[in-house]
Amino acid sequence: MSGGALGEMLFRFVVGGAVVALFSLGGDVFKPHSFGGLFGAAPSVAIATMALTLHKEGSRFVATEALFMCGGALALGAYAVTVSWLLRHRRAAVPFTAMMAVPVWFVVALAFWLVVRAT
Amino acid sequence: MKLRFDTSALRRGSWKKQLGRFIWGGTITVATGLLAKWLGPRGGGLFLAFPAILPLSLVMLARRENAEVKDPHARDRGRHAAVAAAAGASFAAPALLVFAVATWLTVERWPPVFVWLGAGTAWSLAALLSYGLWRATLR
Repeated sequence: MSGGALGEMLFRFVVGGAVVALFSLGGDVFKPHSFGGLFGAAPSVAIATMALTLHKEGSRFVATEALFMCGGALALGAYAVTVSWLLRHRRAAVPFTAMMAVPVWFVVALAFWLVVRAT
Repeated sequence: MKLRFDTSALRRGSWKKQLGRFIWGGTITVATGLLAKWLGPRGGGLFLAFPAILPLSLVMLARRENAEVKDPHARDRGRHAAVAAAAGASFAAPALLVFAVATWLTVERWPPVFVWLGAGTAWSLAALLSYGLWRATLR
C-alpha cells in the first residue's frame, strides 16, 4: 500500500471517527430515549464518507452512491423496527437482539438492489 | 414526555466510551470507503446506511441504564430504554432516505458546502417531522 493511500485511510478514520462521536453525543444528551434514538440513524458515516469521496471520485460517483443509499436507508428502517419489536416481545438480551436482526438489513438491501437493477 | 436537553449523561459518560465510539466510527468509515472501491458506488452506497452505529448505541444505552439501577428486579430499565431508542431510530430512517435523495438531487449541481448543508438540514427537518407525527399519534 502506498503512502498516499495509507494517508487517505488515516484521514478517513479521523474524520469518520470525529463525526460519528459527535452525532453519538446527540443521542446521549437528548431525552426521552426515543428522541435520542433519532441519532442512531443519523447520516454520520454517510456525510464523512461521501464528502471525502466527492473530493476524490467526483460528483457522478457520489450521486450513484446516494441513490443506492436510499435502499440502505429503507433497510435500516426495517432493521430498527425489527429490533424494537423483538426487544418488546421477546426476552433475548439487547446485544444478542441487535446482532440477530442484522440479516434483516441484508435482505431488504439486496431486494432494493435487485429491484433497481431490474428497472 | 417532554423533550429535554440533559447534560448529566456527558458527566456520567467516560472518555473511554467516547474513544470507543471514535475508533468504531473511524473503522466503519474506512470500511465503507474500501467497500465503495471494491463494489463500486452501488454496493458502497447501500453500505452507507448499514446499521453499524445503532447496535453499539443500543447496547451502550442499555448497559448505562442498568448500571444506574440498584434493585436487580428493575433490570428491565435498560431494555425499555433500548426499545425506545430503536423506535426513535426507525422514525429517523425515513429522514435518512430524505438525506440520500437530497444528496442525489443536488450533488452534481451545487457546490459541496451547500450539498451537505442542504442534505443535513433536510435530514434534521424530516427526523423532527417524523418524530413529531409519531408522538402526536400516541396522544
